[in-house]
Amino acid sequence: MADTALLQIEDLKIGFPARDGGEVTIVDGVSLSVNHGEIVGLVGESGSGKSMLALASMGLVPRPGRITAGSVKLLGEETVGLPDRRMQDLRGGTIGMVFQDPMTGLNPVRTIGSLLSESVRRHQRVSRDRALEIAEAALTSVGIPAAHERLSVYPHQLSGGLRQRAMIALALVNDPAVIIADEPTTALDTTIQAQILDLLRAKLVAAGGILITHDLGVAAEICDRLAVIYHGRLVETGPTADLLAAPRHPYTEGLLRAIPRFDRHRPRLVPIPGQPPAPSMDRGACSFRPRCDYAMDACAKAPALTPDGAGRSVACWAPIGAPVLERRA
Amino acid sequence: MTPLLQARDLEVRFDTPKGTLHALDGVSIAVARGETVGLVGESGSGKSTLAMTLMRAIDPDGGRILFDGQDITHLKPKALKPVRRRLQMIFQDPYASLDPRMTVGRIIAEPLKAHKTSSRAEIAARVAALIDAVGLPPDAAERLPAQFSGGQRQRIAIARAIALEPNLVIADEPVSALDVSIQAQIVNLLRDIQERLGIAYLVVAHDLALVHQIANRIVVMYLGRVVEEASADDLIDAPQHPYTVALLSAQPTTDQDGRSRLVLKGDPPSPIDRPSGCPFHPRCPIARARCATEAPSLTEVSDGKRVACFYPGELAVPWDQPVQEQKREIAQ
Repeated sequence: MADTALLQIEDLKIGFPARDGGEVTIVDGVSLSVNHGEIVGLVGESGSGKSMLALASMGLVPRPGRITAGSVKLLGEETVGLPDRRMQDLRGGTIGMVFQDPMTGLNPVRTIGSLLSESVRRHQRVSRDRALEIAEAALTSVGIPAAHERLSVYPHQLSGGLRQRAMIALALVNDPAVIIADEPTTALDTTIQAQILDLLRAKLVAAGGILITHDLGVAAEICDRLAVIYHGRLVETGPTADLLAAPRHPYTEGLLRAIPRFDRHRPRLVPIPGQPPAPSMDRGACSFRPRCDYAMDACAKAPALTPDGAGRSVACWAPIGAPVLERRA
Repeated sequence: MTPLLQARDLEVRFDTPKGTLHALDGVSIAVARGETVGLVGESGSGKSTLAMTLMRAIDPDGGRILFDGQDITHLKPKALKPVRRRLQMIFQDPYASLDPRMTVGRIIAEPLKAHKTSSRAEIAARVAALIDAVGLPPDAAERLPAQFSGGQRQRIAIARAIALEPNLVIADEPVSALDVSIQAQIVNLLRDIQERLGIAYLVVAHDLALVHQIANRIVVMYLGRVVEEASADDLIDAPQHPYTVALLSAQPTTDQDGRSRLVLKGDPPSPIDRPSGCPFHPRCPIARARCATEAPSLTEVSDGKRVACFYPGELAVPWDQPVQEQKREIAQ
């Protein structure tokens, strides 16, 4: 039986109108798929387009931005161009969402019980009482103590950690096929982050999901596969352990060298020089070229993301680890 | 030798509609000349309150602050001015801490002017030197903060903080608002400046790996108290307090280093409604009956190593079980 990807993004482009009347490309030809039971980490810095990609997979690209090309298939169904009403049926049903800030993801004037039960009744034909039971079970399943009492509280009455759990419960309440989590632990303290990562790991592998994060450490903790995004394009993808152990794109390598680790010798951190590019920067050349230690003449033309046939892909003319002769600058 | 900065038994309480918030509960901390002390804790630990109190931006309800042997706890603003010269601060948000209407040159010159140290020409030359020292382009002086990225703004804030060659800079989450690729630039800059000028730092941060990277000594706070203090390496290699163990083990890492996680249950309690006994006992994996009634005091366990726990060193970092295996267990 051929496996249909739960979520399949193909050659997706997202543009925003520019001041000069043209269009700025935020996401430029990204392809990414999520299979059943798989957690894919999308790693990038601010302005890389990672959050826009997440919004696009949920049909939520904010106006005046728009998907200018490509396809997003959810369980085989094309969602680009779907009427809003159909997309609303999918959101919260087939696809669950967890955002960074539970205060924006949870309507503050509604009780937790009414938020969850409304979502249940939107997607399942059940009575009000049954919907509340399902809501309570969802709260219990994400480790919220005294779930029954919590049905009648408002989001602000919960601690940050419990609020994030409540948002995860809301994302899970209709047993979605795919869960998209955008920086789900960034606003949390370290010990709470560990709790939420454990919870997400357990819940995401039961379905399939994308974890969007700026933190390679967070991605490494729970993701099976990683996709590194830079200036709206994927620059490297591969199984988590392989990619971290032997990065092939100079940007991935740069990120890993820039992170402090617990090492008695405290080697000097190696920063990536310069600044991340503005989305409007020209895309003719490799976008990482101005910051790349290995840049060479060929980099004047942007390389395509090229699979190696063994589960990894890299967009670089001279990937790290390739034979020396090919790497000559 | 007297430490450069020494705080003893600091108490800070805030009255809130819900009751008294005990932000600092008998905190003692010292920073020696030229050293970097890292101050680690989660929200509600009191780490930022401590930084603000040491800066004399918050008046303590008890305790004393000594700067270079001088008691500055209750100094009036005028008497405090010469101390301010030697004690500067860097904030987390480089977008909020710089006046958007002032040119970068004026921002950096401000402390120089306030302390009337030199002529206009000297100030201009000094600003140019500082701009160069923090790695900003030479024309930065004429431009506004809005024209710079987050990392560059933090460089501006650093230039302003070191303008008077202070003895101590307190940095509150100096890189946590920056992109990963930029954080390392700023960390290295802070280290270089320290090597050149011998400035001592008190770096407040939630990221233990980052603090370990730049600090000689690390102080861990929990709910308004210091729970552990040790050299940076000792704290990482042999944490004594169960909270430090949990913090260390909770740190996400890209190393597949055979480490499993100790995940604490529950949230940190509210500083308004503090637990009895040891403030950590409700979440502590090794708490005993005694911990619920009696609060352990910060005690020296060996040279330079202090811990506030009745059972120091009893809980070990769970290194034995590989992370991948643990993942599989959860998946089943």
